[in-house]
Amino acid sequence: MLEYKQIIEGCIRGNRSAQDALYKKFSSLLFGICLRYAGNRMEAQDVLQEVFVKIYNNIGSYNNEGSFEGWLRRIAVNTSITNYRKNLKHAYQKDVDDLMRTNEEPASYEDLEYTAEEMMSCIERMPAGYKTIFNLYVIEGFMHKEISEMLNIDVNTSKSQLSRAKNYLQRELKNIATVKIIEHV
Amino acid sequence: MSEDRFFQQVKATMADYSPEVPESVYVGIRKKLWWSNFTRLSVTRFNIWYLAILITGAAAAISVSQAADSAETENAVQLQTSADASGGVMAVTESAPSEEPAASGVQPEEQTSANNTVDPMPAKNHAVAQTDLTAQETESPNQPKQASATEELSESVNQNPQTVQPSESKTASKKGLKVKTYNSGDK
Repeated sequence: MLEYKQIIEGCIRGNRSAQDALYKKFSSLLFGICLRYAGNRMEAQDVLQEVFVKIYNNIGSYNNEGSFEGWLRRIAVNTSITNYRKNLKHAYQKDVDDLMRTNEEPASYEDLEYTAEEMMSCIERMPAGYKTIFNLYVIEGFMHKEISEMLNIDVNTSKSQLSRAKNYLQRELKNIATVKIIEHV
Repeated sequence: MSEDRFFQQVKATMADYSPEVPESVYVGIRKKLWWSNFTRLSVTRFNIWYLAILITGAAAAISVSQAADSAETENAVQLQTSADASGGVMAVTESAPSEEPAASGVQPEEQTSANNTVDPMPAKNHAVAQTDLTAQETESPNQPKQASATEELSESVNQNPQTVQPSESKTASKKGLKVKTYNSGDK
C-alpha cells in the first residue's frame, strides 16, 4: 500500500518513473478489461491508451478512500462504455446480423472447466451489445437498472440482452467442449 | 445448472484475466500524454497556446513588413513616373549633387592654401609653418605676393599673441598640420 502511495504521489507530480511503474503494474489487468468490451485487439489497445492518459491526467482526483485498483477498473470500464457508445451504430448492425443465430434454443451447458483464454475467445466473438451488458452484469456486478441508465436503454432490454448473451456464450463453450472431447478421444 | 453458478464461474475465470500488452501501446500512451499536456492551458509550460501566440505574432510581423515594403515600392514607382512626366528636369536636379564633390574636390587644396595665407596660427606651429612657407616661397616663385602676405600676417600674430582666440588656434593648428603634410608631400 505504501508503494501505491509513492506511485500515486509521483504520478500527481508528473514523475515519469512513477507513471512507468503504474503502467507496468496495471497495464495487463486493464488491457483484459478493455479486451472484454472492445470488438478486437486493436480497438482494445486504443481504448487502453485512452484509459492510461485519463488515469495520468486525473490521478489527483483519487481521494485514497476506496480501492485504488477499483478506481482504475472503473476508469477502464467507463472508457470502454464511451467507446461502445461511439461505435453504437456499427455495433447495432452487427447485433442484427447475429440475431438469427442467438435466437436459437438455449444450448445445454456442460459443467466443464474452461480457461480464461477460451472464455475470452468466446466473449470476443459476442455481438457488442450482448458483450457490454454481459460484462457489466456478470463481471462488474452492476444491476439492470444501473446498466439501463449507463447505456440509456430500457431495463427489459438489458435483461433480454443478458439472456441472449448467456445463451450465446453457453453455446460457444459447448462447441469448445465438443472439440476438447474429440481431441481427447 | 443454475444461472448464478454459470455467472459465478465466468466471473471467477475472467475477473483477473491479464493478457500481455503489446509494446506499441506504451509508445502510443506517451504520445497521447504529450499531446494532452501540450494542448492543455498552462502558464508554466510551453504549450499550443504559446505556439499560437508566436505564430500569430510572426504572421503579423511578416504582413506589416510586407506592407511597408510594398508602400516603399509604390513611392519609388510614383517618384519615377513623376520624374518621367516632368521631362528630365528631375534628372538634372538629381545629378547636380553628384557633380558637387568633383568641383569641391578641387577647392580644398585652394582653400587650404588660401587659409594658410590668411588664418592666424598658434605660436608653437608658427615657426614650422613659417619655414615651410619660406621653402614654398623659394620653390614656387610664381606666388611671391601670397608668401609675403603670409609673412606679414604671421609677424603681426607674433607681435600681438593675445589676439588669437583658443578656438581659432585649434582650427589653425589643424590647418597648420595640413600645410605641413602638403609640403612634405611636395618634397
